[in-house]
Amino acid sequence: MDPALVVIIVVVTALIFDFTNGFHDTANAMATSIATGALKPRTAVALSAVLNLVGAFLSVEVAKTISGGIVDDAQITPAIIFGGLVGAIMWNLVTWYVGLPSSSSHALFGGLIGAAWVASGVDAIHFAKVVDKVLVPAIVAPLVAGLVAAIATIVVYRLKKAADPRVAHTGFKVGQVASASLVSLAHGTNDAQKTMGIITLALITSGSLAPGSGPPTWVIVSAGLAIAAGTYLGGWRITHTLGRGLTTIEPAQGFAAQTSTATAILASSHLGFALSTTHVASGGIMGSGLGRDRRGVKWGTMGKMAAGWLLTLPAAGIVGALAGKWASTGTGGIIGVAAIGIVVSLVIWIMARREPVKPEHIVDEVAAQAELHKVAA
Amino acid sequence: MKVDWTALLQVFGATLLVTVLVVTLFVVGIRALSGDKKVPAYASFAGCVAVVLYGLSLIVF
Repeated sequence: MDPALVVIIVVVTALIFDFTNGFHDTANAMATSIATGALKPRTAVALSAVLNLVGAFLSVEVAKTISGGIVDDAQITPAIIFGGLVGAIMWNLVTWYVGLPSSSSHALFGGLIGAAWVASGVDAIHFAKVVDKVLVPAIVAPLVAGLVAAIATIVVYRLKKAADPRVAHTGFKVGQVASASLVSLAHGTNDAQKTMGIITLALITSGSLAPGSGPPTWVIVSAGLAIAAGTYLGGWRITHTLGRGLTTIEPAQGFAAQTSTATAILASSHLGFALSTTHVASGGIMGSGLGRDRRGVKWGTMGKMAAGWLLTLPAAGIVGALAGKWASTGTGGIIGVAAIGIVVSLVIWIMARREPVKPEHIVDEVAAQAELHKVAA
Repeated sequence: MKVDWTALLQVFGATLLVTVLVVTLFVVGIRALSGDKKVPAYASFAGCVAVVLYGLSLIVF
């Protein structure tokens, strides 16, 4: 197959991945605002989409981490990257279907590492860089967001006692929308850059760009647009788990959680840490739940989520390894991987349509508990 | 294997400082607003916005 054609296929697949990422992650930014009724679901999602687009233009540090570090660009080909991407998309769709807020980013790294490992050998992976820029931040960032969110929540609840409850309620709803917007911005900054990094890596491995290059402008623009479109069109199903299942959230608490989440992601992005925005957001929500009431967190839901997180890298890695190995065998392999990818996506899409979760459903469910605003014991 | 702990510590420090600063200013603003003290209230909210914009400018430039 013509190498240029393979690169085009990788670019398109990467943009599809970016779209599914937005689709998958709307929840992170907007779940708490929707759950407390601070924003209507449709408004929330539109706002989030625009801010994701803006966020994509803020920085290129994370893109550089991916295009110039975690795998050896001299040892892999666009076909291998394609296999890794298909592995990541499969994992994203499956977790989306079952409503598990797993990490799109870890799916991407898992897929890429698995594909490169099997197709080019273990030397093709820079494990030191993977540990430094991906694995350690993956553990530290959610803990940081959680700890800071707990402190921020305690501060907010101490200080707001003296405030008029009605003023406070309205005020924190506004604060929550502002902080949710920052989370969306942060999401665009960290996650859109992962796609830019992958496309840049494909361009480097095909010889179109010099090793060590940053993403070209057209790559930044298209990655930003793809994530924004995905954000706008997706996410109801996961919003359901994250907004209500984890802990019951008040506007003041949502505000504290999101401020901490957004700051943690933005600070990490600036240093080129390619972390999972999903994990950081969950850490923030958990931490603020703890800060408010130690009995307020549903550890069972948390356990299930943590299991999903641990599973993501190896699971996407195995799928990516199989797809990468096959795709690297030639034209037939690439077509075969693409065909399987399309079939699996269609099946999941059809299954998901059978029991759709629409924005209206979320509103109804939230309205039923909007009056309570109590931490579930 | 070399993990850049300084960078991680920076993330923690920045997150803690900025978050606590922003939420404190915001709550102070809400308290002022409850007492109908408009000027201190808006000054606090403006402080929040300034901190956020400063943080973003550090990332962009």
